[in-house]
Amino acid sequence: MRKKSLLWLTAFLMTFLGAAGMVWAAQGEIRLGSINDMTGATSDVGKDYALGIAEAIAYVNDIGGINGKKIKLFQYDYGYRIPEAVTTYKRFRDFDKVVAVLGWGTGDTEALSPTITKDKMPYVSASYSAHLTDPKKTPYNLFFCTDYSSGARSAITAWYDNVWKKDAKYKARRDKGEKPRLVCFYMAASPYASAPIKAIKDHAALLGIEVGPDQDVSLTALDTKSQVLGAKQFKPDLVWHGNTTMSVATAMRDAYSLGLGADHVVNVWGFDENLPRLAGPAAEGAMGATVCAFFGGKAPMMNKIQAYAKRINPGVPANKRLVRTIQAWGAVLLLTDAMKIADKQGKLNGEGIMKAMETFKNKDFGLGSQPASFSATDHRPTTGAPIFKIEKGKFVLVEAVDLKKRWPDKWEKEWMGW
Amino acid sequence: MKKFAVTLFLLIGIVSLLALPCLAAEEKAATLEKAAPKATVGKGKAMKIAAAKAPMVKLDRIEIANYWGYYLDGILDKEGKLTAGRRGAPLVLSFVYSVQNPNNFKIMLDDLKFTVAFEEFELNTLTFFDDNYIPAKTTDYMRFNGTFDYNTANLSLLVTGGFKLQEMNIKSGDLLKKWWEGISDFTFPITVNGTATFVGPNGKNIIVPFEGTFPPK
Repeated sequence: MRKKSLLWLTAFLMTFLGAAGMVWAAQGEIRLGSINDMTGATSDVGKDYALGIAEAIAYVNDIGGINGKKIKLFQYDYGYRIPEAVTTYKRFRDFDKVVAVLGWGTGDTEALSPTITKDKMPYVSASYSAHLTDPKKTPYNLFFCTDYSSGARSAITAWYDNVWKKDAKYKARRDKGEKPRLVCFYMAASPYASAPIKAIKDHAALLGIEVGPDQDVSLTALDTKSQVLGAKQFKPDLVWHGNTTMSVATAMRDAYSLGLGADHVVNVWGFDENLPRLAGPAAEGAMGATVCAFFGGKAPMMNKIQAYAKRINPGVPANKRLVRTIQAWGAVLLLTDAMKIADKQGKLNGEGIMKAMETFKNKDFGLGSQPASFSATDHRPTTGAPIFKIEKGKFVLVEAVDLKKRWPDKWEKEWMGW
Repeated sequence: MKKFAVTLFLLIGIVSLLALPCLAAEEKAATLEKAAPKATVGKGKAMKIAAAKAPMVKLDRIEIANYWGYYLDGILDKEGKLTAGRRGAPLVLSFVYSVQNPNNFKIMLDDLKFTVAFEEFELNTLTFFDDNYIPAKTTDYMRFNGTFDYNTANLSLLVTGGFKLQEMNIKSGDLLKKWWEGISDFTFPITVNGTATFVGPNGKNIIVPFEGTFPPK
């Protein structure tokens, strides 16, 4: 009897200590840093993205964190000032001891790239610059969706196929054998806005489109009449807008009022729910490269995204939320899914997280984005982009362009990393 | 022996099940309270309260912690108007909040973030991550400092409020000058809108939205 009691006591102690050990192990906290622009030159899109980051992290924590470990998010506004981003990164690395960083702009992401490579710090940014897609040069940079250059190539291709080749307004010019004409509106000094310009001009040459003089438009522009008048002399059929929404809306309004007469294609950060609100009829027909569903649009995760937006940031009404929230969820889910794999393998560090991300093949985040694939030699997440246009203030799908299918050789041999 | 093995298996299962809800618990968690009331704070509702009553967060006042006059180091623009100049004009504001813990146990403020608007223009979002414990049944006063600057405020105004300024036929510089010169008397309303995240004794987050205006209406 005494022996049996001893056995029971031992069993009880073993199970109790085992469970307690589980809890203690699970109490570990994983730290993530997030650098966001809530007050600077890209805050028109950065504020909503920042809200989305916090909401997505709350969701990940609610479903168990990283295999039971809670994520502690350190999120700072850097006002789109590169020196401040560099300083914040150093605080993340040296003081907060984060395992990875959710970044923002192209300027700071590219400026930090050599440092994060040296530190082996995974850096999932909201900059989708193609300069960050070649792992030989930027092995610790990644993002979840179509890069700017592929998005621009896709958008221009969609306009060429669906508008230039089909629209009756261009018939006479097509019949004469004339080439379509393109002008780029963007802030030349902005690494984000200028990132895809080389690819755009290369793609224009590929499709036989003439390119006119670039028009330098500030990200904070409230008046672009001189740029529109400058472009008008070239008589463009198409304008590429490379800035963010507020500046793009300004340029579209001025183009409309001054009768530029060109169609518009817009980079991802200039094409959101605020564009038709701000530009009104001037935005009708504008096409844009998109990377995921719009806020409230069709996507398996949308109900959760909306619920967390309401729960975590109840002061921001749903009708003011943007596609930027969904983009933020993409960054968070890409990183945290990889962290879960790395953690299970006992390698929750820079190398382990990056290797985990590079195992993703056709990964669907449930955000209405194209499935993403990564490898150790290619960090381009997708091979094209769905192109939408604005019709009566709503977003309508034009077509999903697959660049790899259409230009397989160029995709494989020429287009990576720029 | 067979009975022993089955019971042991069940025991492991029960203890594991008991342990699972604690997986996300903070190591600093205190005793568990059973009540799960919903509380209203300001205009918002506390969300997903599992075990603790939601603390009340209220803007008590705003103070000027540090101020560079708009005119210091200022330069004249083309129209002969004084501007803050290229070096800007820093303005540090202290936001003092009262945080009331209605519970019988201490509770931890995990983070607090809020957006600050001068009149109807949002200029800055401030976040604080330092852990603070609020003792049981007490009201704590906490001070959060935020730095504003003429140049960064101007950038924010132009990007997010540019069209509104056009509609109001106001230049951003004129508005900033009015604010920087009127701040010492708080001649315009400053509003805050944010959320505070507390960690309850069971390790679950309690998110408390809050908003406030200073000077009070």
